[in-house]
Amino acid sequence: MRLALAEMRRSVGRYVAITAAIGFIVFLVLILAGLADGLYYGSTGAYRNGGADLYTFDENAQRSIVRSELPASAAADIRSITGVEDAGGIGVQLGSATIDGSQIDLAMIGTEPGRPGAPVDLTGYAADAGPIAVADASLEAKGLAVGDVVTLTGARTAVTIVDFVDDSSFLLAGTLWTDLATWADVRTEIVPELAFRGDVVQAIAVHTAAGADPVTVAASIDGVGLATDTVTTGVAISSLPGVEQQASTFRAIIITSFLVVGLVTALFFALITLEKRGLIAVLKAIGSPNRSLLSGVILQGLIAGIGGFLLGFGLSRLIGLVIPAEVPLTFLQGTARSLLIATLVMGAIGAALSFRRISKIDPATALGGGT
Amino acid sequence: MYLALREIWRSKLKFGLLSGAVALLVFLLLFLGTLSGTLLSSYVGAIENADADLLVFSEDAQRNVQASRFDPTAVAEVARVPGVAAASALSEATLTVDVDGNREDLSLWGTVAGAPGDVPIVEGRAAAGGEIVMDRSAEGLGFTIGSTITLVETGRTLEVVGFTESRQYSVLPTGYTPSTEWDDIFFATYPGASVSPVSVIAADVESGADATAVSAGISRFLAASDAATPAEAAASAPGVSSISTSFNLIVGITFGIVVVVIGFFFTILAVQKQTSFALLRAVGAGRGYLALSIAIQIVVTIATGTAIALALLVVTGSTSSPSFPLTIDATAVAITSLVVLGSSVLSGGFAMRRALRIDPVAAAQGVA
Repeated sequence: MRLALAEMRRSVGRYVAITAAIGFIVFLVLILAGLADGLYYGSTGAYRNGGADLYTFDENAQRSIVRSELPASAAADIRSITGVEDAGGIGVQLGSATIDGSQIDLAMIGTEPGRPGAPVDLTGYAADAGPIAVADASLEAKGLAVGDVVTLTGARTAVTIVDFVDDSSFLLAGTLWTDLATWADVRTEIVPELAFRGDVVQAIAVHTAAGADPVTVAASIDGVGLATDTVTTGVAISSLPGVEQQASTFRAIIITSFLVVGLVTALFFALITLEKRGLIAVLKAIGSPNRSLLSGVILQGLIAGIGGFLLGFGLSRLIGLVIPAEVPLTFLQGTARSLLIATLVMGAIGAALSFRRISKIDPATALGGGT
Repeated sequence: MYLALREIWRSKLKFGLLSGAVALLVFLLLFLGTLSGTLLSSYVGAIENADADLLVFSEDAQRNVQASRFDPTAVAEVARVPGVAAASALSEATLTVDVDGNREDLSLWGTVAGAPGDVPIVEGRAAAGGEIVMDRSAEGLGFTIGSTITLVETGRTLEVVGFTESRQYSVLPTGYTPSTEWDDIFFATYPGASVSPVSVIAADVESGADATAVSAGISRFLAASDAATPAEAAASAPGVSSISTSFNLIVGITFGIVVVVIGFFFTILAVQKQTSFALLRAVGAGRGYLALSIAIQIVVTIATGTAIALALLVVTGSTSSPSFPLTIDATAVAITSLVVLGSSVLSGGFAMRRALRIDPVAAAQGVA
């Protein structure tokens, strides 16, 4: 071990090079992971924080909330089903509004305050105060403030912002959480032909009773003849357009990048081992076992991995400061921890791949027995 | 040259690992480029490749087709703007359909035959009432010529009679039907509606007219409208800027990594071979010869890695999901491969410079 560390101290340039190579790849992976997380969290906050275990859609809507339509009375029907603790209707109207001089995309989401479907900490809402809304915190960064009055483009009904709520965006758009009546008014003002559809919601968020199996409850809801398709919140999230495809694509790219980390590390240590054949033979001749030599190489791989991760981490945070606002980059501590572990594992595996070469070195060559 | 190739042959593991690392990095580079191109094309292909000089959106729609909405009378108003040769309605709706035993989403567009915005037919024939022309990207999902599409909500059917291409929208199977058929579907879906709204107005400008001036004229003439060329409209569609900026960033970083990794590995190799290089110089090998040897090894390594990457890309493309078929742009792939090759040779310049600096006398003194 001491020898491995001493070697790194004596050949700083060489080990800095491998650390830099790993660092650049980790930088790429962290940016990719940041994008993947940004896209995921920016698209799914409304579902993740809705306090629901299940979402019920129109059976023909392909689990698309913007195309789903159910009679508003279905929520009450679902509340009476065994295993359902509570259920609330939801409606979504995608649109845009001018905020602080800029036109931005928005999703107005109507819910039944206090029932599943709305963000759990929707504290500022008081339904008797007129058309009001609680806004996603991302809109605060875009210039929206409590007391502002927002009108969706094409609508006449304006809502007054009364509070903000974290992590509740939908399909990368900031959300305005309001009551179902306000949502219905705005919806039919923007799309007049929908007025003829009657009193509807677009989905129903369901909170199951303690101990009830959500899958069984979902089957019960779909079995009562309401022409519904009920799925768990996880499935509803995966059914959002692009979420599953984005996740699998980024996962594949990140895995490929880690293979490159392993290959680059393996290549580096293969080169180093080739160069040190004579010295390794001497060490073996004076009694160093293969295990000790392997430990030294793995230690060097781990140190290069840690250094590379720190470099990549620093670079990614620096670029995060200057990245354009339209890039949905979100750095999460949990993701960084997972990537650190993956980097160390790939660094150690890459280094360990030179073991075969080390174990084949004959100590006799140190005494002039040829190579 | 012989020596350079001979060394590669003798050190298959070393150069194999390097080629493998290059292959994965170049594959990432090519895959990201292909993914970005396919995603943008499938997202706004219908806009970018619309057969019209200008597309007119409602001003507040931010060039989002699904948010744009005009009364049908607006089409005639656009047609009257000086410089406009013809104008036509384009309507879009996303519907749930059954096709080939599967339930799918469909972006259904209404167009007018022969008018601006009509789509070219690459196979089959143009659609009449009760018929539809599909973008070819949907073929793998069962939207084949002769198949019948049932609109789930109304029970109406449309027969697929032809294909167009590069005109997908919103990453969905995309089809084009006559605007009269589209209106019938709309009124069947929304029985109480008084008019069938127009999403976008497609316009052609008169020969010799300046499209920019005509565009400004439309925006002045038609209240709350926003005219743009198809390319401008596609580039400013919601989300497109995020997608292209994100992918450009990733591709740029990956490209940098490829070049740095290549440069640094060949520099290490050059350092390891200093003694051999000094010896070669002492027995008469010129500086150019050594530099050429390194350049040849870089070219062989990159070419091998790129060939593997291309094979991986083809396999990935052929096994991609029918709902999102990756389209490999041969020109873009060839340009990327050549740029990687050229940049890698340049990044190997450090290794070559080290080889060129070697003094043959060092070999005799044993200090190389």
